[in-house]
Amino acid sequence: MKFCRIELKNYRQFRDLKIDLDSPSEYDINIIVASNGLGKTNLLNAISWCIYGKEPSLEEKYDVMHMVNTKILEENGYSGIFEVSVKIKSRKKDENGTEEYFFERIANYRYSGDPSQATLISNDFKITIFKDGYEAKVLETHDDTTLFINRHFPENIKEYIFFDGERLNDYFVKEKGSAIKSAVELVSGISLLNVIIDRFKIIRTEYSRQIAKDHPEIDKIQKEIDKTKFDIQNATNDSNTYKDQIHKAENDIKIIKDRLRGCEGLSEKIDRRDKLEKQRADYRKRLKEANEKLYSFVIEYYPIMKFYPAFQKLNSFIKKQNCDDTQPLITDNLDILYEMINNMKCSLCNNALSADQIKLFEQRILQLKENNKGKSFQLSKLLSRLSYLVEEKIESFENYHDEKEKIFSDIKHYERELNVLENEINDIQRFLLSTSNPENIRRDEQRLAELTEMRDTNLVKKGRNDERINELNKKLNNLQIELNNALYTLNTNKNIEKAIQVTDNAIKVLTEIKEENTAEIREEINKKTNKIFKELLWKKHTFDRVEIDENYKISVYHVSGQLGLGTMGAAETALLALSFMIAMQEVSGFKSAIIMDTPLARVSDKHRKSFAKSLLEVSRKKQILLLLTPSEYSEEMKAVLHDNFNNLYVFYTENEENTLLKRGE
Amino acid sequence: MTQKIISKIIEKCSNDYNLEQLLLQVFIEESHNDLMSRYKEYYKTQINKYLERKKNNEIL
Repeated sequence: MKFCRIELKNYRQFRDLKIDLDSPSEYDINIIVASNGLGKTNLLNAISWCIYGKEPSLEEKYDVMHMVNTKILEENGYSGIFEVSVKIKSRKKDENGTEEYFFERIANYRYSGDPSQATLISNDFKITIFKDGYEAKVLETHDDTTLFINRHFPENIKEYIFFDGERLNDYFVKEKGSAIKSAVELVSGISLLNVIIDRFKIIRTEYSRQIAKDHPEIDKIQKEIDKTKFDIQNATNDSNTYKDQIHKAENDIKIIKDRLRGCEGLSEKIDRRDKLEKQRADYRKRLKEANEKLYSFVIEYYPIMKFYPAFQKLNSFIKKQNCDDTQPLITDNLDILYEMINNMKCSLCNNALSADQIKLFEQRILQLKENNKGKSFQLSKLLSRLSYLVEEKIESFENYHDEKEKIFSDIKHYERELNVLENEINDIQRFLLSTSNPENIRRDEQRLAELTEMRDTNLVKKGRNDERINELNKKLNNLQIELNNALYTLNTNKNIEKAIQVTDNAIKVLTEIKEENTAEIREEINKKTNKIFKELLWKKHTFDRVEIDENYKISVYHVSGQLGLGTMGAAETALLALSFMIAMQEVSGFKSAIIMDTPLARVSDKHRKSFAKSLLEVSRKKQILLLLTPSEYSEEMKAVLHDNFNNLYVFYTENEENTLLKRGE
Repeated sequence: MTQKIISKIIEKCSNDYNLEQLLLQVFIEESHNDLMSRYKEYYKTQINKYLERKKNNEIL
């Protein structure tokens, strides 16, 4: 099936765009060249929206913006009902004649003046089928259109039809295998066989129940079978839920890892920066305190330092006076004696003094006065006081050097530590500034850790659950044997018995066919993928073979025998995806065009020419629509494609809200 | 692929023409129409037809 025409109306930046892809030349290769932002990926989204009702690359990355063209909304003041439509006309030609399919999706949105508020009023999809030019059928119900789409563009493997070069790494992840398998089964009729087998099994169960009505022992086994089936169904549902969650987590992990590539360890760096900043604040506080201590120290020691020589002199003088006994006696006692005589009582015990005692004190006063004759009492008092003060100051000054050393040592230590911290913090900050939006990256890293934990937990749960399903299936099998034995040994309704035998035979034959076909189809896809890949690949000497296992996991082997999928370049990976897609289409019977968005984004210049030649070769049999940036459509590509393409278009714009189309040269 | 499945049904039922008829009927009907809830009735009718044919041939 090939696309003949694509029409977009009011869809995002495409106000009214028609792309004709008909009138094929020998090579059915069509190219649209557009700078980033002009709508290459949105064209892919439009096709996806039309066919599946989904815009995957927008839904994953952003909240879905309004679908209606901004320009028309502005012109109408964001008020009214706006129709968005994508219509695709395609054609299939084979020995049975020509069929044309017209896919049409129309959505209506209501706006009431508020640009942020849009209400979806309708979203209708229909497929009109024309047979040899006459309208043959219109598919409008969800079931009809879904069945048709899945037979022609299986949604499970849409990545292989609508090929996104930016997401090459997603193509061969192991989770993709089961989607590929189910899509292959769907288009190759295996799913239909599964449906028929399941239906025969249901019919068989009904017959068994009829017999069970008359035979309690059979009824008992049948009830046990029903219960086991119910348990299997529940356990399978649980397993599927775990599987979906694992798949989703792994997809999200992949997306986040891609986003984080080159920013590894950022979270640790941010944590380290935060820790260092706390340490820096602590050291700054300590440095401030040390500087304040230094200030107090200076204030305290400055006068001592200034008067230290004078203190020493004074101290020596006092000591000398004391030694020479030229120092007057301390006269405080004399004053006390006078006071006691005047008061006629003892200042210590407060008892009255006798006349003899008073006389004794008066004699003592005279004696003291005699001893102190020629000496100054005032000076004596002053020197006595100064002596303590000076000694204290001299003593404290002896600690000056130690204290000074300690304070300066602390300050130097804090300054040194701060310097080290500042350097490291600055290094981290420079790294963070060179990284776009570090906080988002940090959130991504945290989310990555959560997702990894979630995936691992679900893997364990799924493993346990799968074991349980295996056990339940064994039990079911045994019960079925038990039931069969009971049915054949008991005297039951012979007609029903015969009917059961027929269903058993039917199930047996269909199961054999299903298993044989499944294995043959996989083997054939494997063989064809190898053949096509070998034909298209330019590095033939390094490549040995492709292997597709029963779960459709694809492995590539080098001639050395080593597994090479992870070491393949972008061009080879794209080529392998292309080869696999063509093989899958040829074997399983669905044939669609391939649309490739920026397939060369990661392909080096030297491989572009080879890749272009490969595409050209493929386009002999299959329609290819290439969406390229101007840099992708390089001289190497032009050299191969320029004289051979079917159509070349260029997207351009006169204003940002409306992308237009012109033929390229 | 449909052709391949039909060939295999014929091949596998070479000893039982009636089973071949039954499976081909069901497979073709399922390929072209969605039987929805009618399938039980349809399958049972086909099985009964099989049994009828067998009865007439007096072989099972």
